[in-house]
Amino acid sequence: VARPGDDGVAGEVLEEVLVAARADAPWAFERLYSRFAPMVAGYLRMQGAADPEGLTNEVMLGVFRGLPSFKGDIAGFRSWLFTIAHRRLIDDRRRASVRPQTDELHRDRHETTGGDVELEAESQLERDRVHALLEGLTHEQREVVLLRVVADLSVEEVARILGKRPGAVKMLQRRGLASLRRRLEAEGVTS
Amino acid sequence: VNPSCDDGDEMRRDPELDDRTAEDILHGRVAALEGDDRMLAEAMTALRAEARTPPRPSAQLLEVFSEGVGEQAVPVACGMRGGSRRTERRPVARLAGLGLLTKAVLAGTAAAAVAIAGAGAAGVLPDQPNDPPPAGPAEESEADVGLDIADEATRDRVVGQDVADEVRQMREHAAQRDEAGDESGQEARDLRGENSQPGLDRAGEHTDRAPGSVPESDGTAGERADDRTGDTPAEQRGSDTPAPRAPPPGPGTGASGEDDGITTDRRVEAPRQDSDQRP
Repeated sequence: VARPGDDGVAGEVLEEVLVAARADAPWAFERLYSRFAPMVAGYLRMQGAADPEGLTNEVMLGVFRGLPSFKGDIAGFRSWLFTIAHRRLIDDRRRASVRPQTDELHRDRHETTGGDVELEAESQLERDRVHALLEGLTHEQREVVLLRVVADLSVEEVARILGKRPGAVKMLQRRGLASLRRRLEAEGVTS
Repeated sequence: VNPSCDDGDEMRRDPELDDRTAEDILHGRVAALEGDDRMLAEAMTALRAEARTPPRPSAQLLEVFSEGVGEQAVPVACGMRGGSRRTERRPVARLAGLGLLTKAVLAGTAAAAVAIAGAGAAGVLPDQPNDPPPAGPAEESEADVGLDIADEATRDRVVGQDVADEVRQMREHAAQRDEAGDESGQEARDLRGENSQPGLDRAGEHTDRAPGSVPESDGTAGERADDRTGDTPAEQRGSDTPAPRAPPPGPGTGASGEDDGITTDRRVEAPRQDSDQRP
């Protein structure tokens, strides 16, 4: 039997998956995990979490347990998910008593289980480049850029998560992009 | 360096990013951009691609994938386990905790109110408001007393339970002494209305109503407390503990796991000091 979400998990199908997950359908949890866990892990990894994978699983498990009480559509779910991820990240930093790694991001090396070595090397270079770009941002700028790009949230949603006004988020976003552009220009000059 | 000591290269201003261009960059719409902005959009696409590697699910998640959340579900709006259970049980427990007498009185009062309202609607009630009420005053006062007792038991059920237990013990003790031929029977007399201990006043009232017999309301006062809780007093107090406010899906209260209203296994296994608790 074909399940909703098998065809790429997008749009209206995700709404069906969310409804099924709220009804405690196990397959729906797996579908939501495969759709959102990579985003959460990427967000946490690029934010410098000590154990992005473990933290992601913790976030997803907590979200799933709270899902029966959740009310909202898939956009609300996404916002809720990253709200929790953001708070867990802050808790994780406080618990580990480490300052946010604004100077040097934690670079989580993806495990390679065979495959194309050359391709993997290229993607690792790309990851290093992305991390190097983000290192030029302030903590708040990076937070805004990641929530907007990786989590695909709107300015208003990011403002709610960070407890800021939308105008402040736009300002951080603008400055962050300007900083990234300067770094890209510098890369172009040096290369 | 210009006369104002600004280095032209260091202090040059970036071309302003308007909102539309910023959105195009953030969403990786390369076609709508050019020059540096296009490079920036490509970097954003690479950033997005960085977040496509799925992590390995933990054993607990694998269990959820195979069996669902089931009883692990935690109410989002409550932030603590058992919160919804308390919410659901509270009205039921409150009603079930009342004694039979109080329930009967409440039912009678409700029936009387409905009857009076119906009679008023039918226009059969006397016009003068000072006419005596059709219901007997004794019933009303009994109803009031019953409600007061119930309210007291509700407010301080532990004290009520203690009083009931104490009265029961003293009564049994006095009966034993009576049987043993003790003529003094001081405690027995106390229980028949001569007791001046403040903690037993309530028992004395009920004893006066039904002299010579075990007051029904005495037992019900204690039983009421017992019935109402259905648990130990500690559990009852625990269930009355206000649950911390939890964050709605979007905005949350503070940055903490407590706020999001989710209890994770890590927290269960090793309670930690979170930054707050609000979700």
